[in-house]
Amino acid sequence: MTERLLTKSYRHWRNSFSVFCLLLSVIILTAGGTPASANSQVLPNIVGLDQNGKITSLRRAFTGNKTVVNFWWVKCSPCKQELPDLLAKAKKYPQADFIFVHAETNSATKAAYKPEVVNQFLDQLNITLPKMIIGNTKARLSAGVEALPTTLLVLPDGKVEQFLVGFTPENTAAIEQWLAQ
Amino acid sequence: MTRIITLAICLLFAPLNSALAKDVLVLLPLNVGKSLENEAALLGTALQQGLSAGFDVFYGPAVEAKLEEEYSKEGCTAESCAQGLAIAFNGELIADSSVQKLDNSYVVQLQINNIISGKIEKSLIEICHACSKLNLISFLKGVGQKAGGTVSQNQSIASPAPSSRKLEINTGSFDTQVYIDGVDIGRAPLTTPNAYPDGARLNIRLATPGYQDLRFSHIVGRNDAQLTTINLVRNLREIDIASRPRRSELFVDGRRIGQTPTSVKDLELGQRITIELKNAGYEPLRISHIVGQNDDRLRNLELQKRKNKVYIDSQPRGARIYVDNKLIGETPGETEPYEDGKRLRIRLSREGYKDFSTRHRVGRGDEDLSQIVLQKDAPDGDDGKSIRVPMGF
Repeated sequence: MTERLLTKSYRHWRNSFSVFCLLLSVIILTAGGTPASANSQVLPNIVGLDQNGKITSLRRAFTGNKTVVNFWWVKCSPCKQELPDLLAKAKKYPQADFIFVHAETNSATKAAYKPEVVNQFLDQLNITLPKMIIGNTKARLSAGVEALPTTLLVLPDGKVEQFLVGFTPENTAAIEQWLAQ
Repeated sequence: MTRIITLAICLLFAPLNSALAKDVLVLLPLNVGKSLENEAALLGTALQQGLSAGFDVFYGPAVEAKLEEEYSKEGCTAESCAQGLAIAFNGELIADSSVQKLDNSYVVQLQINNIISGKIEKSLIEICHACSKLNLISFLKGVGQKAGGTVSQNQSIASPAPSSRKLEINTGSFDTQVYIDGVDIGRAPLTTPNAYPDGARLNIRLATPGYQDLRFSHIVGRNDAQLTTINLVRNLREIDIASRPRRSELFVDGRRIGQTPTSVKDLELGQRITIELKNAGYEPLRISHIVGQNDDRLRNLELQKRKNKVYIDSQPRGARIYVDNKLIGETPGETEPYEDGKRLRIRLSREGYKDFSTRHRVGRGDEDLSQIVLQKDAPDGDDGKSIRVPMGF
């Protein structure tokens, strides 16, 4: 009897909890607190300077081609390792665009990195990036990018098809496969 | 079951989620006129709320602090500062806005610039007609929504429909003409034919004969009841009247006031009065005067001395009349009018009679000159003279 009562009580609690979770999901999904969620379905916007110091944005750099958007940082080791691999892919798949977003606030200046500083770093690596946007951490976070490197695979209509976090063999393969499609 | 519902909800909201990605807009502090300085923050927030319908808006202290930081940078230009702001908030769009008061309305200006393209994305000038400060708040929200695209660009933002009301005006007189904003709307007591929106400032003029013109402005909805108990101020004047000669009898509209110089009280401004002055030996003076118009002239009224003709006759008639050695005719005859008291030398001359000569003051025994008996020349050397025969002789 007691066991039956407990079971009934548990079921009642479980149903209530399920309804609560459901409501919570609705609230979270409908709240537009951040401009782009962690898995934003449209290309987020990042405003910053290009490598020449001219103001630009990610949406303006996007030309409607299949585009690989890579978020990186000069002090991020996996990022540095990933850059040559991505540049090789850019050479292999010229029909696709590659945009490199350096969206990190310089802790020394409390502002976005200056293009000269980023360019100097790239020169040391003997790397030239085709398109670059230098913004701040706020911009990165608004795009839902919380870890570096992160790569977005963007379809010609601007929808983000894949949101890949980290420089891993799986992600490298996924990018290759996506570009090859 | 629960999992299926959750999945369904996720699918349902997925397109909404993507639609939520809005452009980031940095709203600079709202520029306001002096009259709105205290409400600037509130109005700015209203605009921000309206813009939030179409943009992710950054506004307030964070923007102000960053703006200050940018402007404090050496070599900062409007363009570079704006770019710094755009990068800091990760937004291509920067909105500049202002609210200025014109007459009883507010003009709201909003311009959204794209910092990257340099293009003016949106430029709005909206007028909140006859708007109170309270209504302006919701109006600004509407402007923001229009700029954000949630209101059609062609659709004008309706000034918040403030409640409107007819006004009752009563002065206690049935002769008061009421003008509102220069338009004659009738005689009080009345209820205005039109309703006026709350907060509208009306210029009211009340014109009542005998009372001072009353001009004032009234804000609809604020103590409207006072319009039903308006006290008019009578247009009473006191005027001074003086004359030459003094001590002339003064009459105003036939009523004896006293002797000049004197003051006449309780006269209504604009009233037409008749002033009469009388003094023995002077022609009565009668003038019409409008109170309040050149009252000073009444301080120097001059009475003209009365003028009389002098009738001269003689026995026998036909004697030449000389007045101050000037021939004026023959007896019976009369002189031209002379002021009372004027001294004249009168001489009568007729052949066969002795000349009659006398000095005379006009108005003093003029009758004596009407019966002068001339004396014949005396052939025997009699020096008999012509004589004046007293009245009643």
